[in-house]
Amino acid sequence: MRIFLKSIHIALKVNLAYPRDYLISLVIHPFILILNIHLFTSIYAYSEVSHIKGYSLSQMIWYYGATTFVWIFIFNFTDRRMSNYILTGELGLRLLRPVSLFQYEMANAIALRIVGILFEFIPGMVIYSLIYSPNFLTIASLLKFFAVVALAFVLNYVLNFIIGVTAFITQNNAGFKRLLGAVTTLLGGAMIPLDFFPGWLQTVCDYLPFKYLFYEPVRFFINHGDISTAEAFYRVIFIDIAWIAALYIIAKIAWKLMLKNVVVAGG
Amino acid sequence: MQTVAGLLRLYVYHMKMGISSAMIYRADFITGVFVSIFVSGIGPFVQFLYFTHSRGYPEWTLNQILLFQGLLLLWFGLRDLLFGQVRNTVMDMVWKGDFDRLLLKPYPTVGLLLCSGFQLHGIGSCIAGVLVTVLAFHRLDVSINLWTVPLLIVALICGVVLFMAITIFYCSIVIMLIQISRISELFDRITDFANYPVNIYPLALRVVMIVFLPFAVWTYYPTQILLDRLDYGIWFALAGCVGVFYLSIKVWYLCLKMYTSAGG
Repeated sequence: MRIFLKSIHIALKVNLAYPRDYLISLVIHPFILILNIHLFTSIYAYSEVSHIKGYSLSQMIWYYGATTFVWIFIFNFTDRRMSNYILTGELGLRLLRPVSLFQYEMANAIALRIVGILFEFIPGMVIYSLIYSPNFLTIASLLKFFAVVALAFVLNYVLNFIIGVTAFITQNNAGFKRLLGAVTTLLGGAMIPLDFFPGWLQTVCDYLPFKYLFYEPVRFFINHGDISTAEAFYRVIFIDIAWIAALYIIAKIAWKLMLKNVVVAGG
Repeated sequence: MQTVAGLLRLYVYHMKMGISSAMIYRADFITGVFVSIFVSGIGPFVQFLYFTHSRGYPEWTLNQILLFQGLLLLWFGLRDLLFGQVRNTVMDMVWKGDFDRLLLKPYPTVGLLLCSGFQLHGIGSCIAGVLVTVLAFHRLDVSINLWTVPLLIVALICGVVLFMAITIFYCSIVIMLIQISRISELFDRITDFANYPVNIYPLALRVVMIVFLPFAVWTYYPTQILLDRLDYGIWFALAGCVGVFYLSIKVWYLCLKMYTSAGG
């Protein structure tokens, strides 16, 4: 645990070295929000409705804002970093460290997100709120969001680690990375709320982990009517943990299998 | 003229290198193309979902938006094919200090950077764009008149010129600020406004997108040309592209004057 915390501390120092990279979000976020304000105002006004699929105009506009916030909480480079270790031959050095690669990368991901929350989420939330007031937000919904998004971070990390392991076969795993990114954003509800999907596709999403990365955290954030009960909250938490456990086992097995065949080279 | 011919030869050389490089990791490339086609399909799918659960955008039917999406994907693919690599190249060169070497070459530096832009991965979006456009053509029964093709070609050329201008602005910022990796994201978010029909925006924003930052020339006007409902705004947009390009060159040389070597 001491080594793990030390790893977080070091990674935190590295990530804090370039705060400008994070602060640029303060310029980026308003563009996303302004685009969505115009887009959805146009759709709602033209359709002459106050709700579409249970989402009010402000909830719909904020849905995409909240998706950006979820990215801030869960994003990491683990898959790309693992591929780089293979391509550069650095993997050998990593394997000699007194901390497992899983833990080391987890520490790095945690540090990356701490900086992200400080420099992107908090100022971003203030800016968003000033541009378009989140009239649906309550303290309870925000706290539930934090709990669910914390688990989403772990889930995303384990998924990325599994993609990172594929680099043992392909060396360059950019293709797999993009595939996971595409599947995650579409079936996770980052592109459009899953309520808009046809019934059969919603059922498919129910059996996959991706909706717990975006759709569920965002729904807690925007305080959607369907998840206002405590039962709904605990159900999401339970399924989240179950997915993390299942994927962790898969990651461990894949790691052991791949490590037997690894050839450390590079340059 | 000799300079342009030399740069074109260089571009073709980079293109061949890009193809060879992509073929080294063939499995990754093929996966990437399929993923790209799949990812490209998400946009039209999302629009389809919006249109089936609402009335969509004013003045646009589902099939018209399908055409818009097809042309948008085609544009994305073309843009990535032609200049997709420039951002990574300039960022990488400036970080490592290799950019200085470009200053010694017998061609304009900005030309050399643009020549290194070929990225084969853009082919996936192109394929998806062609498929969606053909589907939309089939469903819309588009009629092509005498002026359609020349206008489309002019719009395409101006679109490429505008994208070159934006890429030059990007390069100018990178050589000045050195270490801001997310500047790329900022440019993407701004150009995202071109992903939707211009008429959904309020008047002020519409004027910006037609005259000052004429993103409308990438997809909106080509779609309007094909739907035969073109307005005079296209002439402002075409002129705007040339103006923005001129401005980008001026800014580039200004930044180049102030550039201090970096790297390591």
